[in-house]
Amino acid sequence: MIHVVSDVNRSEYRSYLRQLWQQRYEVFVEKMGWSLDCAKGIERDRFDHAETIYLLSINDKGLLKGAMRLLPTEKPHLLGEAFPNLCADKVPTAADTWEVSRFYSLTGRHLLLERDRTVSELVCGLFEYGLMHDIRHVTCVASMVLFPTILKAGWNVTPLGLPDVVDGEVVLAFQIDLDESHYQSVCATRGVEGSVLYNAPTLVPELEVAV
Amino acid sequence: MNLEYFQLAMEFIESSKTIDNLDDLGRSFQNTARKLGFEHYACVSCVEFGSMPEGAVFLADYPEDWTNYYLENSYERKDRILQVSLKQHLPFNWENEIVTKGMNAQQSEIFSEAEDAGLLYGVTVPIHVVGAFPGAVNVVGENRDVDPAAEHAIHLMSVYLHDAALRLKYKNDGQVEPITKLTTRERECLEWVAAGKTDWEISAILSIAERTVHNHVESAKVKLGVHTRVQAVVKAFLSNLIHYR
Repeated sequence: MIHVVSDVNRSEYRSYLRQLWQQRYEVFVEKMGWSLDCAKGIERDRFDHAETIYLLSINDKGLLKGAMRLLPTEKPHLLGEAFPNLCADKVPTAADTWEVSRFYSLTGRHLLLERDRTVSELVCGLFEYGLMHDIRHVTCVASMVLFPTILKAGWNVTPLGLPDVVDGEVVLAFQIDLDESHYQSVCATRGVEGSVLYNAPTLVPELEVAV
Repeated sequence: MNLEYFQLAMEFIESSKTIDNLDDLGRSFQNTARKLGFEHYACVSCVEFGSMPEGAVFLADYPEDWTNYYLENSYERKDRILQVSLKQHLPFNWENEIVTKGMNAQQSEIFSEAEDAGLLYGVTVPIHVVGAFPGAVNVVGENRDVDPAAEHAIHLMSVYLHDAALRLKYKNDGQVEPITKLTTRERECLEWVAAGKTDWEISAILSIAERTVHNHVESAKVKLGVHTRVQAVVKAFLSNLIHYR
């Protein structure tokens, strides 16, 4: 199942978040070789703050198997702060546009293996959560090596600029639409039926208070 | 960022989302590729072109006599470009040393012949997608002096071209996915699952560890793209991969 973790329920997920930083270190620093500025064994940056929302994939045995991070694009986020030059036009910023980053799965051999259940649930969970909370688009930066597989998922993917070389890796910024019809086609492509969200806290009012 | 190249690429990408046949798709790609300095193109799966398996794509506009000559000689079995693109994940041009180093005499001969046919400067975009044959999009022109941004545009367009070509191919052929091959053990295990046996019983029948049985069934599920044992058995039966025991 996909657990949505935000400011309102963060305290219940403290140990999972600790695992998240560790797994992110293993995946992004050790396996992918990204040069991230972080302490040894813990990958956590300035975008991991009170307003950040996490989708955690936790299996039947209670183990964390994958995750993604969501940031509001109206606030400082990765694309706007670190990669604005990947966008041909302005970096998209809107209340209905959030950014996905640090997306990984531990269950597939390939990071985005098409039939990886963890990836499927994270993707469908993103649609479910987005449709519930008026998130209509997500932006993302990913390696061009993974892009053909990302494209094949059955959603509408629009590049925001040309690919470019960052840190020795060819990457692309793109936007994905979260709407009902693509939700259906993504679920069908990935063989997911029904809701994958474990909990869906009502977040929006709290966020506004927090501002 | 080169805005002009990005806009050109986007024109093709948007059209690739709505075009409903392969011919128009190829033409639209070629029109844009020409504006970026590449006269000819080919979008292919790395398979034998003489006996194309289902789920493979072949979409090309090369000089006609060259295409015929290439196919008659089954050059895809020897072609250095296809060989290199199987191992690469990112675009490369044909003068890159990953192409030129380790090329055998016959492969250089094919290159010279291609040059004689007017195929001078080429760029290949290898495309590896889970659940599809390895693919390659080649663009070829006469001008070596190509802007790196133009090659980035070609890279992006190629991924969309291949994706749309696969989608249209399945739509027109009315197929869902390429048929998966199961190993003998995976097949045996699934047949016993279909016969109602537990992993422990199957392990006794086949004289292998219970854990191994579990792994065979799991791997069959992955190959079949399903999540439960029942789905695996049904799909394998319908695809004639297993038979009633």
